[in-house]
Amino acid sequence: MRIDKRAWVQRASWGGAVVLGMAATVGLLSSPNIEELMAVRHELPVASIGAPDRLGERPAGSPEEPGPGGVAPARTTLLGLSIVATVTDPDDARAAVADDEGLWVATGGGLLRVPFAAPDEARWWTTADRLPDHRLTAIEVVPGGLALGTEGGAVLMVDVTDGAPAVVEYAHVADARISDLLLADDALYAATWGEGIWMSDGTADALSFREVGPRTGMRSRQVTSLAWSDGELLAGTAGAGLWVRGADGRSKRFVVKGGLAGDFIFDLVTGDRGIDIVTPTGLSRYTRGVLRTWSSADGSLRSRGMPRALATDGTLAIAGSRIGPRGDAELPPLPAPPDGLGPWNGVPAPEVRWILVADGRRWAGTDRGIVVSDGDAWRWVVHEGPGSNDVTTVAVRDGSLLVGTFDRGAWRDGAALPLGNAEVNDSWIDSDGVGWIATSGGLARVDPDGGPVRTFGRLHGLDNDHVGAVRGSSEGLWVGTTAGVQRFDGGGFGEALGGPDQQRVGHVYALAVGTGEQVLAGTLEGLWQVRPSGATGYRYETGEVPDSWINGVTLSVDGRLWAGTYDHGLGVREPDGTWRWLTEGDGVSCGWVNPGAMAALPDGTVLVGTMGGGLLRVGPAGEIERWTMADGLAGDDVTGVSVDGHVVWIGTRSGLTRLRVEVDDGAAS
Amino acid sequence: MHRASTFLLTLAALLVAATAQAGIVLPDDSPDLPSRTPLSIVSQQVDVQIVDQVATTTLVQVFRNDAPVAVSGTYQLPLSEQASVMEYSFWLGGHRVRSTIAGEAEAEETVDKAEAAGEEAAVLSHTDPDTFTARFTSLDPGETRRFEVVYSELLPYEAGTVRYTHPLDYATMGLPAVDDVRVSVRIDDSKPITSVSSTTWDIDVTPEVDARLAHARLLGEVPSADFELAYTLESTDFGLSFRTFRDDPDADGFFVATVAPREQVTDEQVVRKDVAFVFDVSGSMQGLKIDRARKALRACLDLMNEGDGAYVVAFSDSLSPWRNRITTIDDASRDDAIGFVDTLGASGGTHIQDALVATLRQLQESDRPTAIVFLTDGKGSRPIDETLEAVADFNVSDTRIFTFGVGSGVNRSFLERLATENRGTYQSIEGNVAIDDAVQAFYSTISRPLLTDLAIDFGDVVANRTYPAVTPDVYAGQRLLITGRYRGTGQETLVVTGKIGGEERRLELPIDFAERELEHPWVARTWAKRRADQLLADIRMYGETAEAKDEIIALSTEYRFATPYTSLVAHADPRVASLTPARIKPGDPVLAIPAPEGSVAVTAFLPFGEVKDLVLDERSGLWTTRFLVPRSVRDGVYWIHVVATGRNGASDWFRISYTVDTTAPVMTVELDGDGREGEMFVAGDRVGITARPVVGFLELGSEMVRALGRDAAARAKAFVDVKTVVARLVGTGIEIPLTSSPAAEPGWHGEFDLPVALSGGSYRLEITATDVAGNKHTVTRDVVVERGVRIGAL
Repeated sequence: MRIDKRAWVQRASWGGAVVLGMAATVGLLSSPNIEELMAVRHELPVASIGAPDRLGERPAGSPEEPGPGGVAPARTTLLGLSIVATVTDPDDARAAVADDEGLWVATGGGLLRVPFAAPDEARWWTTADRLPDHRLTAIEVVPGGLALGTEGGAVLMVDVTDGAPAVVEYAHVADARISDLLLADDALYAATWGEGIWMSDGTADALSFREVGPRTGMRSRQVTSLAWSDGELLAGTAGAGLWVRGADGRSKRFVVKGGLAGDFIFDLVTGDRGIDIVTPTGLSRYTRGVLRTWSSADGSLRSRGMPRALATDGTLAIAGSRIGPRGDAELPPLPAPPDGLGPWNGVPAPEVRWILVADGRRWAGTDRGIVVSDGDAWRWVVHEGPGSNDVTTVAVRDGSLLVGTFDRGAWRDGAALPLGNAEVNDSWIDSDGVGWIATSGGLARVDPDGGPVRTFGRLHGLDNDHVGAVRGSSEGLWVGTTAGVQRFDGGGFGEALGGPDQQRVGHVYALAVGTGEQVLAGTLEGLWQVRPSGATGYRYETGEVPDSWINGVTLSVDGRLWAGTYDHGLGVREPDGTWRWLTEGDGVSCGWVNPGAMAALPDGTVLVGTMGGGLLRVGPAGEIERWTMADGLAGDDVTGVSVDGHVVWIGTRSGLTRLRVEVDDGAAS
Repeated sequence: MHRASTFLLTLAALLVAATAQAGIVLPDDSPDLPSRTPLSIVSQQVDVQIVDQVATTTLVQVFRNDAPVAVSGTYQLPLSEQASVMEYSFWLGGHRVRSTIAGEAEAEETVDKAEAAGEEAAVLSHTDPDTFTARFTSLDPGETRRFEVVYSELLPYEAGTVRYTHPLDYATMGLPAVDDVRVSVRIDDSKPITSVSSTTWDIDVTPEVDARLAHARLLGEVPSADFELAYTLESTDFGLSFRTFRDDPDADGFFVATVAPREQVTDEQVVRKDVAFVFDVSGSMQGLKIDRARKALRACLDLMNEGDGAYVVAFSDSLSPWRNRITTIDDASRDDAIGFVDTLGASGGTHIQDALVATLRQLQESDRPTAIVFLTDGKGSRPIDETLEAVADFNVSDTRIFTFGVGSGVNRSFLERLATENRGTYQSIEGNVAIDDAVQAFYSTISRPLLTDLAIDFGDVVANRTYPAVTPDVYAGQRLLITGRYRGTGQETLVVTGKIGGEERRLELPIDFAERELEHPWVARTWAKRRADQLLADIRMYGETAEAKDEIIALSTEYRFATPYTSLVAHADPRVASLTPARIKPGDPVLAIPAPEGSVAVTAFLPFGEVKDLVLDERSGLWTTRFLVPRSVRDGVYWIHVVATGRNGASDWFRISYTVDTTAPVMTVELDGDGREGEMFVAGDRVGITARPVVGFLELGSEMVRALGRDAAARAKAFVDVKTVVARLVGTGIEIPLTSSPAAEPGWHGEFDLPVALSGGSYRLEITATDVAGNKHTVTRDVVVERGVRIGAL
């Protein structure tokens, strides 16, 4: 299919108010078998397996050295690791356009295609499909294809001639998310959240952007959306009203005091009678320099409530998951999410971000998926994951996968778990297959055969309900909370472990279980070896560690103790008790380790998830290898690592990646 | 047809000084305060919307404490008698604290509790309606505080000119220059506006069909004159505007009508009339009062038109008329009447009823419009109802009665009713207001009645609860505002009739009484205020009833104005919102907000473009979410905008801040004690440690940096965020926390004894400071220990 600009009649986005990457998703979806699911949902192979590169050699296409067009070829294998699958959830629908055959949707989990003929058979593309980034935030139709904006501030030009996206050009615009894209007057404009508006008009050979304004004012440069009207470029901002640049290059601003409905603008919608401006406090219409406003406050906007999105046909979405014709006093709510996740489980109801009228139907995008209406009723057409790619923890054992998210609960083997608290910090599966989930509202237990989730907290003797880490062994299960480390006996919690310095064994971010009843705790105030008899600490103040904030801890098979710090690199304590530290100056590409994101492999190496620097595999001698999104990883902010034989699951803030580890079978088993 | 004229005024500079007070913040007296002068005003913005003479002013003032100590005090804003405060807000920690209407007792209790707890609260009660005052607590040095007051008022209208005044004379009050002053006024009138001017400020006037806002600023100057604005309306034969508001189709709508005759008139157009002057000369009027009453009466006689008839009677416990009948005014009779007035003295009682009845009897003989100008400082000797009934019985000529009450001893309710029931007006003369000036100014207006016997026919729509209940005459240069409720809907032709110069006039105006009309919410509030004023007058007259009291409270609550039963109170709930922790390194803080009860959705707009919907934690009652502060975020203060949406769809906005801080605290360390830094210690010595944090700009905040100047930043030791300081003597097991006390010398202090058994040699002393965000910094000092004992220790 060749895209013709004239064929594209609709565009919509939720502007820059759209979310950042936190919202993300695990595409674990409703199918219990990930690989089966991926095979169905992706026509392209999601596993990129090929000949291994030479050890230690950085492949082309890393973020620092983008390949031709800036597009990185997917990594194959290295140091015995290979990508099997990258899994994301496309429910986090942030912006959309329509053509004759379907919707193209920029989501937090990739580029989504929703065919009009079969909307339930949507499919999507991610980094595993050679997109440099699948945290997409903006979309626009350009001759020959699409322009996509990313969370990281890049613009991708994508050819969709063959039905599948192929990146043909790439440009990093600014160190701020792209909140909207607009093709107008033979130029492509990119709105950013925090760095103003940029433009590429084709004067350079390659895709190249230059800033066009607003150049001052923090809020003015937080641009949420763009529109074009009679030679004027309009920009909605987050707090500084409407910025308009005329054909003569002069700019002016409209704010509440000049009649605008609100200075915080969600979106600009181009209609027949002008540009409609959506703000939380009402709507305005801009027509050749004149504003007309309908406000909720004074009653002139009869749909009471906070407007969130507007369609060209007057369909209005307001806060509280309600959507309907503008002017109604009451708007019907969206259908409840069918997957068990909803307001009743501590997850907010989805809010509408954009509405499109296409194919004679109305389509609305939310952070929990897409709904469509042929008439009055709305139904979900893309809605299978938690609406979040923001994975905080992953645990796998014997093929059973448990995934926790930042604030959208947890999933096990594709099924949502009804947690009392949706903020998940850590997880663990014991030898009986029981899943343990550390949440900000207690410790949750889920049995291998499903059944009700039980939550343990203060009522059961836990000193603090904020559980930061959980780990177990044949000796028992240990729980780290804000108040310390406690052992769980199946029905209740024992006394907090530690010595006379107990108070410092608080704010636990990671646990590892050693021999006997020794537990290692990474805390805000150092690394602690905790035994019933007392605790030994390694702290900044005592000179053992360069930073007391220990986010990760694990024991390798050779007896070494590994500690990952918040922002001071990685340390290893040799069996002789000496510490060796690897920081960003010592070859560690990123010295920021994410909480609980460390795991030991059977060959003595450890995997370390970093805060933005991808996945590290570190050998006992300090040799380091790194995997990033350029290699096909779901994200560079790696938050969870779990090993199950030859399989390694990697959780990131933008999805999951399944790796296969090539190690000696004996060791692996 | 409604014709709107819009003028936007932009102020560029000021011209003349005036003397009225402005909104100020006065600190409490304190021995720590060098002088008790009003706080500096950083900026002031005055936005005024005037629609048909009703002005709504939004005043935003930002004050700064330039004193070296924290202050508490009072925000004071003088208001005109006509002004009614609708909304008061102040900002605390980025959160807007709005006022609510509360019962008087509840408001007092709220303020008392808040003050006892050191929290901020403000109250506007009806006891002093002319000055808005609000308490505030603890404004730190360099800190700013923002106040916003919204008030409405019916502007004075004289001879076709409407005047607006806002106090801005800071020079007289000795206030320093203001960084930024802006005033903008938007005028929307049903009559064409012919001119807009100011005698005190230079203004830019931009006539536009549609509103356009232009800003001009007065930067870094001391405003030295009140802002006084006047606009003149085109003189038309008979002007009428009619505005409605209806938010509930099932309830009666509201309307406000303004009626104005032609402003510029000829003598021929003035109605000839007979006027009686009934003046109290009882004993209580002795002294200055009677002198001024005489002066007022002389002035009124001077102002009478040739051909008008006059009847003058002085009363106490007896009547003393000038002549026994109405006399046509000419030069001779005028002089004679003035001569009579000059002979009047004060003595005796106050027989009001007798004076009024006798005067009305005289006026019954007139075939022209008649009026009584009645002035008293007493309460009368007969029951009020009896007097009013007697007046009604004898007022067969539809005589207009205008009443003046002098001083605080009058029966205000009686005089109000006497006037309004007889198509006149009541005016109170109190304090330093001269009787003669007040009466003269009044008479100069009523001497030229233009529009009489005014009536409005609503067609099939039924008007009710209309104020004033009895339609008065409209005089030259006056404008009458009538407000009421209406029942029914549809297109109607409003028919207004009246007499101008004795001739019948008729004006028709097509009106759409819609089921919903939401453009002018001030119409409903105008009616509600008039309704409440009428109920209060009834209570004053007949005593309190539960029904009247309940209705006043209901009106006050719904339309937001203070009454004797209610107050406008604003209280900063200390649980407004919190971030845990509020000072952080990149990570995942938790946002917790006790949103208003009944909120159905709470949304946070995070500073990096993310929008988060909060979840209600049933146990704590807080709406919460956690969010990620990306690692790439630079140090600084960031704001989160929060919107709480209620069941009725109304939104409440506020914002909170958090600080991203990845910068370790910097310390300087000094050692003392038995040894001194750089010198040898001996085992057994006491080692004293003083650690002083060096302050960075982040800790100071932009306001303090501006206030102190960049070079002064390092001197402000009090603003650091250091949480703990620990000293450790490596290799000895000695580890002691250092402490800080506001009473002690700035910094962190501690001491320890070197063990007597300590071997000689050099030891490393590490002093580690940790800030509230968890950043750490260590300073190392060498402690050299020499074996031996000091002589002094022997």
